[in-house]
Amino acid sequence: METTHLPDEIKPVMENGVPADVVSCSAGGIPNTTIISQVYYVDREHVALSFQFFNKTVKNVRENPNACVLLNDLKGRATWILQARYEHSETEGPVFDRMDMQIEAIASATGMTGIFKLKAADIYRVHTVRKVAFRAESTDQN
Amino acid sequence: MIPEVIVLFLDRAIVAIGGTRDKDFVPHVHRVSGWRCSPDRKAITCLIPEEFTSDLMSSLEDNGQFALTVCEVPSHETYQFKGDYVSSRPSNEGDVADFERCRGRFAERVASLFGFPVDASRAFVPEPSIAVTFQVREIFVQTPGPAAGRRLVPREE
Amino acid sequence: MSTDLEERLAAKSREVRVLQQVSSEINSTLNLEEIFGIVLRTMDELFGFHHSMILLLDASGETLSVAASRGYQGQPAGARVAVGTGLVGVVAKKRQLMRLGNLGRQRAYMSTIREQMEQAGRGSELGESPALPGLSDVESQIGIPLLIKDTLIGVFFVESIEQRVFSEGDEALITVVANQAASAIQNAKSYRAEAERRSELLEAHERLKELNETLEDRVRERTLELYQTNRELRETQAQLLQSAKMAALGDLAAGVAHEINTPLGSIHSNADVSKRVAAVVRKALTDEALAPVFSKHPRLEQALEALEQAAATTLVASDRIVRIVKSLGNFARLDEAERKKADLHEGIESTLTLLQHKLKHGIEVIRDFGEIPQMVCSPNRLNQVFMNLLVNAIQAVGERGTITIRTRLEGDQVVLRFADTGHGIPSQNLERIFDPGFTTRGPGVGTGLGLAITYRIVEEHRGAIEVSSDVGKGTEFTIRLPIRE
Repeated sequence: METTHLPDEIKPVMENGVPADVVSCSAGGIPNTTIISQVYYVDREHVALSFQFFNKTVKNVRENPNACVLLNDLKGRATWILQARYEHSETEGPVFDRMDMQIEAIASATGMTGIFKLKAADIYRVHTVRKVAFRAESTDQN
Repeated sequence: MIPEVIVLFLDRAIVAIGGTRDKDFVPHVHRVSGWRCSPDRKAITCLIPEEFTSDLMSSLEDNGQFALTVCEVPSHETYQFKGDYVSSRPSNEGDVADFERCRGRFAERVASLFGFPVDASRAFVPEPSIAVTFQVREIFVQTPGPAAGRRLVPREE
Repeated sequence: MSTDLEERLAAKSREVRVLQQVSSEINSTLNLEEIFGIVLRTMDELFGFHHSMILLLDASGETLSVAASRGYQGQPAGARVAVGTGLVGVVAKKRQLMRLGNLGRQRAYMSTIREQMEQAGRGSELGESPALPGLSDVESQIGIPLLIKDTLIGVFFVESIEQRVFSEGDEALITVVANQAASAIQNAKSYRAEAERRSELLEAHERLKELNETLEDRVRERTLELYQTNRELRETQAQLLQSAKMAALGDLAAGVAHEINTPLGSIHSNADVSKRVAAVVRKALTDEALAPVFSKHPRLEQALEALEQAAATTLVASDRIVRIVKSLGNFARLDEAERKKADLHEGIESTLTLLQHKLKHGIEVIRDFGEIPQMVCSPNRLNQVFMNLLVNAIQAVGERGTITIRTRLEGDQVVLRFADTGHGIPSQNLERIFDPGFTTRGPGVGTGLGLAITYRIVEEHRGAIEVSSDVGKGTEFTIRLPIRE
């Protein structure tokens, strides 16, 4: 199943705390794979990734905005694959604030204040959303 | 060459994710259900399920670039391998052992850490349909922390 | 479809019922602790929040304290969290509802990083975990700000060892309950503050009453003090006035004395001339050769007698005036620094002359003057002494009595004794008789300074003064003055 916008059912998946995967590509054509802790739902057409440390993904999308995101839904025994394009970064506003709050709460609750500081919210526009359900070993559809 | 310590790591890691890019420089993700290191420690073979083979071969045939991130939980020790496509073939019985080992580790670890039912976890690692081998060119540390991003192989100057 | 609708309807009805119940229960009490209990219990019943806390923002706005909790072993009441720290602190800072899940994984992730950092020698950059005691194996948390309009009064905090997923509907409901709780808490706090203020006011009122009474006492004391001070001031004023009067009097006396002297001289010498002329005429009257002339003037003898009488009276009178004027002059010499050799008897006589008018017929003055040399002194000052003592003696004697003035030379001291047969001085007053201001004559009569001044003047002359007295018999003042300087 493929859509061009994010369905409601993907929201809890984004918040299930299971790490997601991001593949980006440099201007020179070298792919980069990485595991990230959370993808943030912005709206039906956008997701955000937190930019805390400067890394290869951050560098790549600024050279080549295309990105591929994989979300794991363990409970739902499915994965979601998003094709997206990096649009812009936000350092303030409701999306940034929400992400900032969360990171701040977790960081300070684990003694990591100052080390985990949100630099920016990288906003991606989603082009395609594909749900990949696994062949269940049992007949249980849940 | 892949250092011995990394080879040992590969034997205890539980999650792997592959990435390619197509002719338009659009990246694609491929979940990896199993992996093994070549005896000469120069290449890694990845076992990829059918569900995640979209754009895989076309990309590899276009530019041969492959990236693989492998992670161990709960230590979060993580490494990224970048390299050049060597070959591919449908997965066979010879791959089953590797696949089962990797899947078993995943399921058992997830069950013990997060209380997830084992069979659900197993279902999360589908059987592979294709085996892709790539020659490792670079290895990077991706363990979260101050060293993340550092290149391990070849050693940074 | 209809089942789903029915389910949803049932759920909604239940929510409404619970909300109504919460509302009525919360609003039925103004007791903070009861309100906390209702809120926490409701959240448990409605959402299965088994572990929850209500934290209130303190006055500084920088710290939250646990005001009530439910479901914890060791109750974390009183535990404090800084605004901005942890979920609770962030909710307080941003005033927004916030959920955290998968905390187990987060903790594991963070601990990896912590380890890495410690291994890389950057352990000092790591902070301490905050001190909000809660579930150690917590998986999910939710924090809801307690707001009155836009003012934060606290945070409602729930945590669970399970992953909790909240729908938007759940969040809306939680927020409604939280808002009600916030209102109720604020009302209860206001009520409590009001009650405290009332009791403070009452206390203040009591204290004020006490203070008032004390104040009245103090005012009374002070008034008395002021009265006494006023009296002292008046006395000093009187003394100053006295000194001024004395000074003015002295000036006047000196002026008068000076003015009188000249015509007095004329009167005296003229009277003298008259006396000598009369003597010449008398002698002529006894001459027989002039008898036939004088027989023609029979009243010549009478006239001569009258002249002789007039001259004699005039001389006596003018002598008297001279003496008075001299006394005045003596007394008027108020130059205190003037020290010269003086005859003390002269001073005593001058003073007696000035007191002539007070010496009634019943008062006898006995002068028992010994041989005393002239002495270097301040004659005017000593005259004041004589004046004081004689005035006192006259007053003590009253209508009838004797004042005896005895002077002697004893060794190298001149001893002057002023004794009277007056009413005497009681022994308890004798000690204080030279104290300034001490008087037995009642307020307003004299300044009580006379004897004090006397004492001082005697001291100035390096002398000593004593008093002895018998009530009903009399008083004697003894002054000893050294002759030598």
